[in-house]
Amino acid sequence: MLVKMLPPSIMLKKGKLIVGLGILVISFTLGPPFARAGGSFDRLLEAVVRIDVRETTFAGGSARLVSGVGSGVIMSRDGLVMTNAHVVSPQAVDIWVTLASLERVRAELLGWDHWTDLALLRLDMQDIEERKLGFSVARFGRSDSLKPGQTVYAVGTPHGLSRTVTKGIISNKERYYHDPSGIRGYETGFFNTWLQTDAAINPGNSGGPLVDSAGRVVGINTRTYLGADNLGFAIPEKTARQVMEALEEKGEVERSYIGLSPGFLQDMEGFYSLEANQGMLINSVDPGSPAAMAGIRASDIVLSIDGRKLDGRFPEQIPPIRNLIASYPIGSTLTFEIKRGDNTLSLSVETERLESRVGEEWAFEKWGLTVREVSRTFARELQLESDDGVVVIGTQSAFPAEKAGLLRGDVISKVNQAELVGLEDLKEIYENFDSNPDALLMETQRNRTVSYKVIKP
Amino acid sequence: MTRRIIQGIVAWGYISLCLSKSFSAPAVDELFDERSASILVVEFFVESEIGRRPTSVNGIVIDSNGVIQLSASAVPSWVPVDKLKEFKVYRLGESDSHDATYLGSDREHGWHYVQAEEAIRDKLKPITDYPLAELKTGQPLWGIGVAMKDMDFAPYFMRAEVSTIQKLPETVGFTTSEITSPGSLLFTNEGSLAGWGSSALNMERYLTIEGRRYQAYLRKPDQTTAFYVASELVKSLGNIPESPDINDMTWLGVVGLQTIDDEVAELMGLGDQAAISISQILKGSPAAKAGLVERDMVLSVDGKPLKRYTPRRVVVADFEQQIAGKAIGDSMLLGISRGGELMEIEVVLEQSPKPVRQADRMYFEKTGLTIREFVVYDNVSLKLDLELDEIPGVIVSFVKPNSNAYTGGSQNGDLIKEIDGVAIHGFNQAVSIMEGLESNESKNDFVMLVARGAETSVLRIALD
Repeated sequence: MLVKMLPPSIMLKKGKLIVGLGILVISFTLGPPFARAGGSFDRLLEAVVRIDVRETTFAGGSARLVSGVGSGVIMSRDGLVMTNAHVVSPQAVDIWVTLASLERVRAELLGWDHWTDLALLRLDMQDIEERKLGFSVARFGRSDSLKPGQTVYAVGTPHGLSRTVTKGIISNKERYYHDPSGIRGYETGFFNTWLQTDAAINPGNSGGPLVDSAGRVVGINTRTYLGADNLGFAIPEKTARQVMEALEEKGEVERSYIGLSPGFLQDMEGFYSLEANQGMLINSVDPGSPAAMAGIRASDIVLSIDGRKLDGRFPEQIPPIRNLIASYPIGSTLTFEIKRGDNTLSLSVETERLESRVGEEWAFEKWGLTVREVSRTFARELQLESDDGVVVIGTQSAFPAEKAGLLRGDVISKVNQAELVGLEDLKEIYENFDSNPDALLMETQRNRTVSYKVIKP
Repeated sequence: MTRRIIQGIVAWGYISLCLSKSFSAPAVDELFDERSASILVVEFFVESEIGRRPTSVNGIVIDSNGVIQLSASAVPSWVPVDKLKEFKVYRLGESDSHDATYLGSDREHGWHYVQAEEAIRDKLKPITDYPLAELKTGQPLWGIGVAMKDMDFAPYFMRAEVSTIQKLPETVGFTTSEITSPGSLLFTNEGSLAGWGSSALNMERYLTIEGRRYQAYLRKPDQTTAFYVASELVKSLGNIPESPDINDMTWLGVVGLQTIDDEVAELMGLGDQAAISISQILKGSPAAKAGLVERDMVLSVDGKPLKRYTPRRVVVADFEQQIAGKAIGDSMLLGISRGGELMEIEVVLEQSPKPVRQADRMYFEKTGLTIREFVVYDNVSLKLDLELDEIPGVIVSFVKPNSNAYTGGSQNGDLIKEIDGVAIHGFNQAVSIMEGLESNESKNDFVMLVARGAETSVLRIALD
């Protein structure tokens, strides 16, 4: 039954795709009423690139290469290319960019920021000069001045179809969406809202620009609801511009962390007897975080931070508040004005550096074992006793780790009865094992249950 | 080629199925009729906030007072006794039901007991009337299958041979094909009692559908090849508790017991000694009081080394059964290896803290929420590491679909830490706050602070 149903649905998809292309070709050749501004829009098209990436994955018990296709847009004369963090990550080993002229050049990753799903590449400019290749440069528009209903175009490489232009409107300017493990386990969407558009966005469009009719970049296309019709999402230009600057300068975006999870006050203002349009509810405080140490508790209401009044009633209002906190320099002392019951308190919180839940990954090829360093956030998420140790992310069948019974998700906390602090310890043990193979006793934890496993040469 | 082999296996399986089901005239027809009077079908309802779920299981008569023994899995362990309703029994092949009473469960094996009403007791035949069989591999046996309700639970004849007998740690036998229904009985040709049907094993199978192969695990609900061996079973028959809801479980207070496998034992210098590692010791538990610490390895109990079972995980089951077999106040001498050092530690077993089944509960109609008393089990499952007498709130044990609690975001298993700004430290306190909120006409809504995993959130619940 299932097998019978699949082919027609695939056919249908292909059919749609072909029909779509057909219309596009007609509109270009006949050229009747055309809202887009000709010259500048053509320049934008010349700035959109296809990105082919090969990157290392540690998921299966060994370091393997996987390849993918995405889109990007050239933003400067010196070859800066904006794309998505889920298109090019630090694990990329090969990045090839196909220019509008169909010539291919290498590029390197300058930095990435999974929180906003953005990455910045630099084209191999020496190669471009030597080969006398040309490209044009896109310009940013203003995402703040967009209006719902305004026409926008998405340009990219959906399903590998280079330089595909699709057209739609801005459906919503402030979509709230976050995913604690959306980019291969990395967090995304906490610090920005999204532009929503009905311009067709498909896999491969990722990293391409969303532009207005003058060809100005108002967003970077990022995600879509698979299975839904034309619900696409883009990172607004406002966020993209800031992140691009930081990535060019430092290769990363530094953010402050205090350990608060905000909730929405929606409909609860009465309960907390608050003035209109003020306050942000605290849903959760990370144990051991700066906010916890300062004495902030779940169900407190933050009225202001450093004198800036907060309004966090609706989901859309939360990312800007998170971003406000994150944008203070690391180590800043912030004054929180807090309402707790009938009392108002003033608490000082010193910010820490924001870290991802995903730690460094590594492959121990001879054991058929891939692991990830346990981060502070990951330890808290799993309610582990400490952030020591490494977590198994893959084993290869019939290799020592798999034969020992190690499973994905096991946290290795001790080797030969000695505490394993982190990945570096295990690398050292692996090197010694390599030169002097002897059975190793590993203590693992899974959901607080301790087990012992033996790795044999 | 492969397909042909698979088809062959499937065909063979089908034939053997037909054989085991065949109603061929038993040479033991007289025995069959008499032995069928030792088996009853027990029916009852599990009541929840918004409905009732019917359950029907086979049980065996164990004495002349009409006491019927059911398997441990016959009654879900978390359901409070007062939610088990309308026990009825049916004699095999009859459509009339008779009233019965739930007596509770045996603490060591978890078997449940039900007593049939007096009127039919003289028609029942206790299994203690039969001689016990000594089983050998290959020995022919016959069993009594129980048909479905629309067949009036008619008994039917089944036949197979002993395949193997294992200690797991209960002595369990297996037959060459299905021999009985779970909860029913099997005998030797001479009529000696051979065993009591347990639930069927999962059988690994490959299904080929339109050329695509799928791996599947299949289990028959009504027929089984596995049984508890009678000669061992009768030794622990009829440990009926004083009352259905009594808590006579003993408790050591250790969590996450794991059998140490052979290679690990060797590396740790334990030789070929069976050993169990302890992952966690609960604060305030008998184990903590006696000075056991996390990562201790148990090697012996009361001077006897732990038995090496195959599969090894049975070592843990055996240890747990030894704890359950002791009475409250009994002591247990544990041989321990701590970081290679050997020692003996005496633990005095205490009464187990309240099980979830016995926790107090209250349903709030207006909110659509049942709250349940916090018990030590929650301390473990929520990874809270609290002292034994510390109560961090109450647990949500039911959320009525589309109720105010549901719309407000309540979820089953939430730990309610605060209600309307008041920290919760006991069940009665939570109940009185909830009652106050539900009866307060001027109140339109309230807030709850709940913990879910490592996060908390504030929920607003409407009251209209």
